[in-house]
Amino acid sequence: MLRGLAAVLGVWAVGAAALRVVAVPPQYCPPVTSAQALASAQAAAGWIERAQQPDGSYTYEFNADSGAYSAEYNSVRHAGVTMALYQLAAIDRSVLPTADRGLTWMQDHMARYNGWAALKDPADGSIELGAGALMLTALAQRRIATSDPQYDSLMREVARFILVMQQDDGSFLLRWLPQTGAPDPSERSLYATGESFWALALMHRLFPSESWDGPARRVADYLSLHRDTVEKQKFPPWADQWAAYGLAEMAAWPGAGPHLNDANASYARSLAERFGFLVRVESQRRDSRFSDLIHGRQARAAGMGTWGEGLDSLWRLAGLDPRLADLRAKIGERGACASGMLAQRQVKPGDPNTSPAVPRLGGWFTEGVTRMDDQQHALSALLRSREVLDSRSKEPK
Amino acid sequence: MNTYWQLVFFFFAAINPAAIALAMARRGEDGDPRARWQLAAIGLAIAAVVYGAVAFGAERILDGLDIEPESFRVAAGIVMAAVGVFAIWRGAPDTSGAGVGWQAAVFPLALPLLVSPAGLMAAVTYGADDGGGKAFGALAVSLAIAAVLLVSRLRRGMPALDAVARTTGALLVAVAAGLVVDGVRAV
Repeated sequence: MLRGLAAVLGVWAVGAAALRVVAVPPQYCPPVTSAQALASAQAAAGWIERAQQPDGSYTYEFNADSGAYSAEYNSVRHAGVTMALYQLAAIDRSVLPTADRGLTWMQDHMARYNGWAALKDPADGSIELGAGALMLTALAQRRIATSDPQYDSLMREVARFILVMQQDDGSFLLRWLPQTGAPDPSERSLYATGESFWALALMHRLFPSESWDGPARRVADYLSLHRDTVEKQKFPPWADQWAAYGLAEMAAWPGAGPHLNDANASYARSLAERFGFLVRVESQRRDSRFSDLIHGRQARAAGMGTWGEGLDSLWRLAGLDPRLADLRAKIGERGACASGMLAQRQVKPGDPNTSPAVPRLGGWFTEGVTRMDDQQHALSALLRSREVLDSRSKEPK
Repeated sequence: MNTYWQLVFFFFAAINPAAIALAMARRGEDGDPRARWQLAAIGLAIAAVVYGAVAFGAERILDGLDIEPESFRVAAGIVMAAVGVFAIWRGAPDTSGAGVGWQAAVFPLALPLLVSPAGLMAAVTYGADDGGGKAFGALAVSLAIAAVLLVSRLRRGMPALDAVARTTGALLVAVAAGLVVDGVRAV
């Protein structure tokens, strides 16, 4: 009996060990406080500021191992970084000059047609929806942070460009072609639709009497009901943090709510599930070759930051919409986990590999490389997680 | 959160009473009715203690392992699916060890038949998600069914037991697939 029992228990132990290693390695969410998250976001802004060029552009990509700076640039990411800096400016005005230099760069690269304005690519002059949409979110964040109305007319010009790119079903086309004087009907973007949605939702918040809510609702419904099918998502829903920003903004619109319909609320739930899953999986990864082999490489900050941004937004939404209230605690838990991982993986003072020649402090590097959106998304996620972290610290243990 | 009757169904699939009865019946050592009662009672008591400890301690177990209940569902689903596939293939496992008496009640009846990998994973995952009391109350139904089958003379009913065991294995695969999907889709 004992021999048979020992054999069974031995086989079970081996199986349990294999399961532990492959399927359920421990999840680790480093603790982080609201103050630490803010300090981490400020350190990220410091990296961006130190690497900013005199014309207001940012360092696009830097390889700390080779010391090489990329010659590429991307106006969409430029607008995104500027938006993140303006988010921080609501709390820390010291970043305003850096963000304003970024805004000046955008103003220097505008295209204007028929009463609308858009940000064009400095290299080839192409006009992408995402660049304009994120420029508009940057201007809106500036407006929120400073209450300064000097760019209100520019905001309306850029918002009109977004409407030019919108189709009847609420979806958007990606590029406007100066040659044809019309949007390119063949291209859409996974990112630009959500970016435009958030931009329009912000416009309604700031200018509620100007009817920006109609187009925003149309794109919300397109995202909620049709996008994943029309745009052939293999594993829906697309983890779209911009859509989460937009839904949270919509839920907080002025006037009597709820502003989200059932399809929007259901879509928000599916986004929370996707972001939550991604964070849970990430929390099981380690910075080791073995973990890389079994569970895949740790996500770059640009990726994990977007999950954090999505969760932070959905946590706000769940606090406003009773249809999502049951998810709020779990969403907050996952958002705090993302924030903790981001704060832990940031290059901190005292890092032996950082120096004036090799600027690493405040950045996130994956295999020696950082790109401007690593800092952008991580900054936004950390900054917006502060309320989540504060609320969790007040919960009874 | 599952209803009580859903849990009863899930544990029935995970514990697979027909497979347990089939495995014991295949050994061909029935003993007298009193011996069968004794075998079933001891095996059932051991299984109840182990499952009770696991179901009521599920949250502590997961905390100790640093695993979120949502992530554990995926692992539980993988194990339960593998056990289900085996049940479809073989009906019941071939077992060694004593045929009657308390030794047989410990091995192979209590472990690994009544307390099985699929049952343990189910006890942890449903204990954590639905509470230890509810999970234990649900799994006790399957243990009771297994005990009734064990004390019955079922040698002539082996083909029927085999069919039920394999069908239950198929149900377990479906339950396991649902659990994996649930684990992936949870926040």
